[in-house]
Amino acid sequence: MSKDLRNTLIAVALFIALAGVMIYFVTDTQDQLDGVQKENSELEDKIKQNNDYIKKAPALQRQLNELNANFRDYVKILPSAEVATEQRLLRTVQAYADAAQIQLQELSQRDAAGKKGGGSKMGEFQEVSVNFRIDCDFDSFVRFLNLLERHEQFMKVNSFSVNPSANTRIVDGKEIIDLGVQIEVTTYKYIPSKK
Amino acid sequence: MLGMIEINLLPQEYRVQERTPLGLFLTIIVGICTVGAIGVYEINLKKELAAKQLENQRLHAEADRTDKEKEAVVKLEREIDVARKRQETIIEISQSKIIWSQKLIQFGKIMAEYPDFWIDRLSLQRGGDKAKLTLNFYALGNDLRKEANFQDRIINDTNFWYHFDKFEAPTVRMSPGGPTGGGPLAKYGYTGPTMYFDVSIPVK
Repeated sequence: MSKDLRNTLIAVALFIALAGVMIYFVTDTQDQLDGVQKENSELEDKIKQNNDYIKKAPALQRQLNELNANFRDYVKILPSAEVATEQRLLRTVQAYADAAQIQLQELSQRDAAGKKGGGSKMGEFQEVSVNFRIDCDFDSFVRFLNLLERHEQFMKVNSFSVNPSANTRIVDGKEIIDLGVQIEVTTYKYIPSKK
Repeated sequence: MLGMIEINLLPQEYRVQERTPLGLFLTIIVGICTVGAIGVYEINLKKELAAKQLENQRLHAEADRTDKEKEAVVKLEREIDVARKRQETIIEISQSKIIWSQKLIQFGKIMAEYPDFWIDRLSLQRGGDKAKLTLNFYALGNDLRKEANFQDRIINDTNFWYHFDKFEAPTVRMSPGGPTGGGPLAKYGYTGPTMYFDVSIPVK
């Protein structure tokens, strides 16, 4: 092999080696670049999705304000937590019993329970109930019921049962059978959950 | 002047060369160009990478910001959900109130049209979401057409029937007339036939 040829081959080998090393670095850089570009593209997609989502914010805020405003109106039908107590309910029932001229016979209170629905999870609506028994005629019963149901704050007759009373009374020679009436009256109070 | 002839007896490869051999020269030129081109390309790539990395940092910062804003929107949606459920609950509470005194007055008017019928027991039972009105009543005679008319009258009274759904499995027990008849009126001297009805009416 001539000296020139040998030198040329050595130079070729050196350049190939050098080019190989450089190609290795180029490939590495290209991989990094591809990775960053891919990540950037994913980030751009994510930002676009987020921005689309965020665009709803003003409308949602308006909707929430509207719902809250509506609720502030709706909740006025319920007595406040301070007012809707068993004691207050008893006083109301007694006042209407006096007005309807009937005698309360027996009274019991039911444990408060959460209302189902939106309130149940938060426990925001609490039921306050009293159960009582009266003996009276049908007209007095209806009058008493009417007084309870027309109470300025929300009061609901949850259940009642009307049965002929065991005791009869004689008025002007006529046998009068009174009714034994069992009534459950309920109101609700709104107790906002602590955030 | 003597002319001198210089003769180099060394073999070709050992002779001093005045210029770079063409093959080697071309190899070096091509090699330098190739390596140079790769180097330039690498420099460009590095520049592009740096720019993309810078953009990446900016995008990360923006993604973090939009993530936080999105979280706030999600929170807003949750609040709307709670507010909506709360509103539905209070509407449900207010709509669940039936003025029973009014219902009883309406029912009393219907009963007044049927003097042969009288109520023995009446109850409203609460049961989960749906309440149920249970009626037990008597009627004089044993003609089921009277019962059918009575039921029609109740169903056709739009005001009274508004909150109700249907008569649920009504049961009628007939008591024949005769010495053992009269039902609850026997003690008052009535010995004719009577009918006893047991009816449930679910509240809508």
